[in-house]
This record gives sequence, C-alpha cells and structure tokens, in this order.
Amino acid sequence: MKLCNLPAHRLIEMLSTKEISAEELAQDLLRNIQAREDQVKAYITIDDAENILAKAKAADAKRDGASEPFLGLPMAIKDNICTTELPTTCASKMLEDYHSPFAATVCEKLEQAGLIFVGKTNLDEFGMGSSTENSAFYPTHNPVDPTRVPGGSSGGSAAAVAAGEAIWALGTDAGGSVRQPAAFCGVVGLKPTYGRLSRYGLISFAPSFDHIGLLTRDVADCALLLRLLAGHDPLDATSSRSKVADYPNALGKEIAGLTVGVPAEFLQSNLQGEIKGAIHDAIQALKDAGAVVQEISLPHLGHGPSAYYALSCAEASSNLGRFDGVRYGLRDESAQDVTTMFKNTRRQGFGPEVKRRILTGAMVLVKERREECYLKAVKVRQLIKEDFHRVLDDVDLILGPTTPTTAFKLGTTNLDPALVYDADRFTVAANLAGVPAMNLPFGFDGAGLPIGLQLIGRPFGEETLFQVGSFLEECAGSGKNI
Amino acid sequence: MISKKEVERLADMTRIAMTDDELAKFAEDLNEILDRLMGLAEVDTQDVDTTYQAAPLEEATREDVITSSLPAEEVLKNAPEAVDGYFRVPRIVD
Repeated sequence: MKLCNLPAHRLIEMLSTKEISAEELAQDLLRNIQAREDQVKAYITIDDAENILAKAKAADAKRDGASEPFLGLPMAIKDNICTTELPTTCASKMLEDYHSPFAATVCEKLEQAGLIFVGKTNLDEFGMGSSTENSAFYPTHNPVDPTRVPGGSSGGSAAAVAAGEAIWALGTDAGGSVRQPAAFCGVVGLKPTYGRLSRYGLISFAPSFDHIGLLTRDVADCALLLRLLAGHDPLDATSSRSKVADYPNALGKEIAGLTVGVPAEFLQSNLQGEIKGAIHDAIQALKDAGAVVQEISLPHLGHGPSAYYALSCAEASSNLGRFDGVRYGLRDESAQDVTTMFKNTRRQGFGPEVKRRILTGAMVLVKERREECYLKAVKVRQLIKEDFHRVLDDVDLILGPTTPTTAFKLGTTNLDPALVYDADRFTVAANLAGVPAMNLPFGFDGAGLPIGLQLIGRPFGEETLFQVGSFLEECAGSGKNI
Repeated sequence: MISKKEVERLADMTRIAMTDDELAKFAEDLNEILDRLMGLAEVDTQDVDTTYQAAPLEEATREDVITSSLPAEEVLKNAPEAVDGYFRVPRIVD
C-alpha cells in the first residue's frame, strides 16, 4: 500500500522511528494528487508543491523522536474554515479572492502541532447542500465511483481522505455535512458535541447548528485528532469548558455490558436493503460481544428535516447579510447608489441554492409566518432534543444508518430537490439535539459503494463512540458478520 | 400560497436583485418548501418551551481588559475599496 493511503497513526509510528521521512510522505502524496485530482477534483486550492516539500523538509529537520508526533503530516482543510496562507472561498463567487487576515483556532492548533496544509477542499457553496454539486466552481467526484457524488457539503474533504490526497481533513457539519460524505466515500466522519471544538474562524451559515468535524481513515485517527483539537477557546463563546478526555484510551475497550439503542423509526423508514442488512449485522456482532441491544423510539425524528430546514435557513438569511460588498468579497462596481450595489453584488455573488435558502429564511421569519413556521420549528427542535435526552438516559449509544442510500449519481439532485432534503433525514437530528455522532464505514453494497453506520452518543460522550466504533471497525475489517 | 409579488418583497428585504423569471422560479420553490414545512403543524407543541440552543451554554464572560486586535491595514486588505482607513461605498444619501 502507498504511504499516502495509510492511516495517520501508522505514519506517525513510521516517522518517529525514521522508517520514512515527512519529505518522502509528501512526495508520495503529491504524486498521488497528480494522478487522481483531475478526476476527483477534491480541492479548490492546492498549495505549491515546493512549499509543501519545504515544510516537510523542515519537519524532518525538527523531528526529535516521538515528542511531536504530528510533525509533517499532510492534511486538508475545508474551504469555509479560515487559513492565513491559503485563500478561503466557501466555494462561492462572493469570496473567490478572499484571504483571511486570521486563522481559525483549530487551524492554529494544527499548525502549531506541525501539520502541513496541502490545500483547501471543495464544498457546496457556504456548506449548503449534500452533494458538493452546489460549488460555484465545479463538482467533486466520488473516488470510489467517479460517476457518483462524494456527498456534501464536506465532499471535497471526504474525497481527499478516501483518495489518498490528504491523510485526514477538517470538515464542517450543520445537518450531516461531515457524516453523509464520510458515508458516501467510506471514511470515518465525526461531528463532535456542540461546543467541543472551537468554531472561531469557521465561516458560519447557521450558528446554532454549525460544527467543525473530522474526516479520517479510521477510528483511531479520529480519536487522536479530536484530542489534539478539543478544548475551550475564549474566542468562541459557545465553546465548552468541559474536560477533554484522553480519547485514544477508549479504543478497543471491552464493550460487554454496554447498552445500544436502535430507533424503530430508523429501520421502519424507507432504507436501502443492504444498509438495513448492515445494521442487522452490526446488531448481531454487538450482541455476540456481550452488549445489550434494545429497540428505542425517537417519536419526533420524522419532523427533524423540516425543523432543521426552517431554522437553519432562518439563521442563514440573517448570517449571510454580512456579504454586502463593503468589507470583503465581491462588489458590483456599476451601481451608483449603495442599495443597488448591495442587491447587484448579492445577485452576482450567490448561487441559486444560497439564494433559495436566504429567501426561505426570510419567508419563515416574516411577521405573518413567524409563529406557524419559525417558532413552531423551534418547539419541535426542543421535542427532538428531549427525545434524545430521554433515550440517552437509558442507553449508552444509539445505532442507525448515516444515509438512506449509498452514493447517488452526479446530476440527479438538481432534478429532485426532495432527494437532498431526504438525504439528511438521519443526520440532522444530532445537530438539532447537539449530541455527538459519527459515521463508521461498514461494508459495501452490491455496486461496491461504501455503507455507513451512524453512532450517536451522549453530550461529551465521544469516548463511547470511539469504543464501539473501534469494535465495529474491527468486525468490518475482519469480514466477520458482514 | 407564496405569490411572485411576495417573493419580490422577500428578495427586496434580503437585498438580492432578481429578474422576473427568477422571481417566478423561486415562487415555485418556496411554495414547495412551505408545503413541507407546514407538516410541522401536526406536532403538538402546546406546552413546549422555545429553545434556541442545542447545548446548555456556559457563562461566557471575561475580564474587561484591553487586548490587541488586527491592524487596520489587515482588516481593510480584503475591502473592495478603502480610503484613509475607512471602507468606501457608493453614495448613500443624495
């Protein structure tokens, strides 16, 4: 296997014993990008090869045994997270030339730990979409089958990790934007608890839903990366002070005695047969290992997508007001007065999906509809949150599918907006409730496309996700039960 | 029902210039979306509190001390037009 396809924890070992150098790793990865990127199109911006190699050499020179384990690992950042060296476009014409004057807190932590940013990955414009086809520049293709979408909105990050074009990547997840592409591309995707990771420097679209998330080759990498990035940040008022666990310790821990709940609503809904089969296999494997698996009910789950859509659009319509051609980004130069300048700038800068969501947000917030749409959705959100908290009092973990189907074909979502609305059906609930959730690759369907299981935990219970995730990953890897 | 006229009002409120065709297309979309959102009406929310945050927020206060901020030229470097340390925009009042 090529170096660029190995999990980070393996590479960290090889780097610390000098079995390989960061320069060799960077060269291997750059060769792989050369070979695959034309087809996959995971990136919007790729840093100069020279610059990446110079950083890798510097990492090799600095290395002193295992004291700085992440030195020289090449990774990718979703292009709605601010970096100072590389531009941050949000895959929007509005920010095509934007160079952030500051870096996101998570990016600063990564750079301090010595990781190298290979480039900025493609997304649905401002994170609005589930296929990466809403990028203002070009769609990303699924590395497993290039006729299919990688999912979205973090499709570029998921594709980069799956194709060996980055060792791991940051994404963002407001309604499933890390987990759904992770499922479609066959990688691990974690949306941590709301507040676990600082969001300072994330160009937000719906602040009560937005999370920074992680896309990695395996569960062990995910635990390592979360431990590196988690913690309170005074620059993000919503970041939590709760204790950061030693996440890698949870890997491989005995699962006997754990209680796993499977929502009846997940299995009864319209779900691809092979995904349903994978869930049953996972249930059997958990039972065989001594876990207690029980059926549970989240009665308001079916209303999740509508509540999510109403609230996230409302937040977006207010949030995206900042893109007005004054302080940064595009400006229409032809307008003679400021209001026309605002209107023309936003007309030219935003794509159709962004406009649709801004209008939807305004529609649910206007006086005539505020009560029946916006406030109604706020209350339904509360009910969904209560459902989760009630269930998670009894079970340690919830198990279900990440997506109703495996990756769909490019070009099909624009024909049927309902398909995308439904694609988020299983993922939005965790954002509405703020609980942590992870996609775990678990076998393939008949067409060879990856199937993803979703594990949902208690607030700040990421350790349980890693514990059960590493167990199921081993089952999937050994071919046992699947 | 969302009329084209209403979309025009929403587009004006959100400051997005639109052609007649776009207004008609978005009217169709918004009607479809509103239909789905009205499905929320079947949920009984009589005694439910309004919640705006997913997680209980912790106190986010800090000491009121002066800290450094970005230099003005850094703040202005992405501006389409800046003059004398200010953002410049087209005429606002006649």
